[in-house]
Amino acid sequence: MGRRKVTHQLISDNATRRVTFRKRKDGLLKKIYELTVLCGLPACAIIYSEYKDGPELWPNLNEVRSILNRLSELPVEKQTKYMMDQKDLMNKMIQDAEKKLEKEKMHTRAMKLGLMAGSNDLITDTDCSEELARAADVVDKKLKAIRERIKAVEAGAPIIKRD
Amino acid sequence: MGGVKRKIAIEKIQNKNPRAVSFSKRRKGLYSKASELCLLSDAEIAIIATPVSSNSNAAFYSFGHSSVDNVVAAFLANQRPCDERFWWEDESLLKSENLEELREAMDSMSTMLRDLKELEKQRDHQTQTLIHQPCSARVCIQDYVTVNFDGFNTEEQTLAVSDNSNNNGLLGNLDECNEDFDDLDQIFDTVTNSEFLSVNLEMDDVTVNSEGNTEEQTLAVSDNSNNNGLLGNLDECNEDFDDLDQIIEYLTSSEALSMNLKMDDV
Repeated sequence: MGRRKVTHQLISDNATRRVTFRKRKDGLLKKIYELTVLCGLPACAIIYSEYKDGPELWPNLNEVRSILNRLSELPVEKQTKYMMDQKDLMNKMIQDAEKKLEKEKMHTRAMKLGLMAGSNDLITDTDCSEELARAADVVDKKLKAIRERIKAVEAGAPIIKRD
Repeated sequence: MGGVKRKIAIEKIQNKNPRAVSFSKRRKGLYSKASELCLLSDAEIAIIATPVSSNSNAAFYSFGHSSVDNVVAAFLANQRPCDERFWWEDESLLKSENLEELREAMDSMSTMLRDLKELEKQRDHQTQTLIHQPCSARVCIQDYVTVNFDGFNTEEQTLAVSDNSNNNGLLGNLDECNEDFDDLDQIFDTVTNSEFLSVNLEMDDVTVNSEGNTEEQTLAVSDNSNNNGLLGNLDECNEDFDDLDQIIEYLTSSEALSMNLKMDDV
């Protein structure tokens, strides 16, 4: 467990960088091992670094060659379909974060609607047409969910839903 | 950390769906860790995983930095992956004798230089916008004082009534000049009388009260202290003094009034 937050940039000190590389490399290879054992599929890794002349292979040379042979036999679009690099990974992370943000916004809006519905005075006093439009959107979604639930109950689903 | 996390045994997951879910989650974490390792240690990594499906035609999952193709090609060729550089750092370009290549390089350099200058110009333009407003206010002060000698005395009393300190008084004066600058031609064409001036001053008083605070904040932003602001105003008046010769014919009275202005400020 790390003691402080690590800045995501190249470590300037050579000795620290070397130690960090070795530790994180071992952790990474352990993760690959866990993945291969849990999911029962072969995987390999090729690592080039400035601390070793040749590449560092996991698990071994023959396995890597075998997997690369299988990879090269595929057509090109199959090879590159799930291929990622630094940029693709970063874009995917950004998309996931944006989805999470949108979900939180919806949740906040629903809670605000609940507070607004609790006190009737608030709606009539202030001119909040924009808020009302958003509230209408939330109410429509809830009505849709309720209608689907009614339809499911009529079709014979259990009345009390258990997760 | 909330809750107790159950540690699972590292053995093959028999059920199909949990295995697929585990693969997706752990693959994402693996890619994230590889990405961090590349950033921190400047390493180049390729990770290739065969698909979960037993179908031999399914696509492979892979992550690589700088790219999977680059690292795999280097591995197969038994050499290190080549470092990425900017195109202008290429040494062969310096020794090249191909005119086409050199001309393209020069054109690209010119384009980059032009873009940089444009960005710098945009940045300077934003800076100028902040300075522009106080300058226009300073120009007006001298015209107003020169035109109306009677108004000057009345204005002095007005300042004493509407403002507590000299600094505010001067700021109010600036606002009045700002308003009156457009009316300068009308004042010259029309014979001035006391009623017109008194009505005009009353309107100006309303203007001073509303805009004085804004002007004060502006000066506070642009200068370190109020004293510097006042000195700047005086310098501005001196610089613009020459332009008055083209507008007004009364040279002697102008000089006398500007002398009075300096003495009052001191």
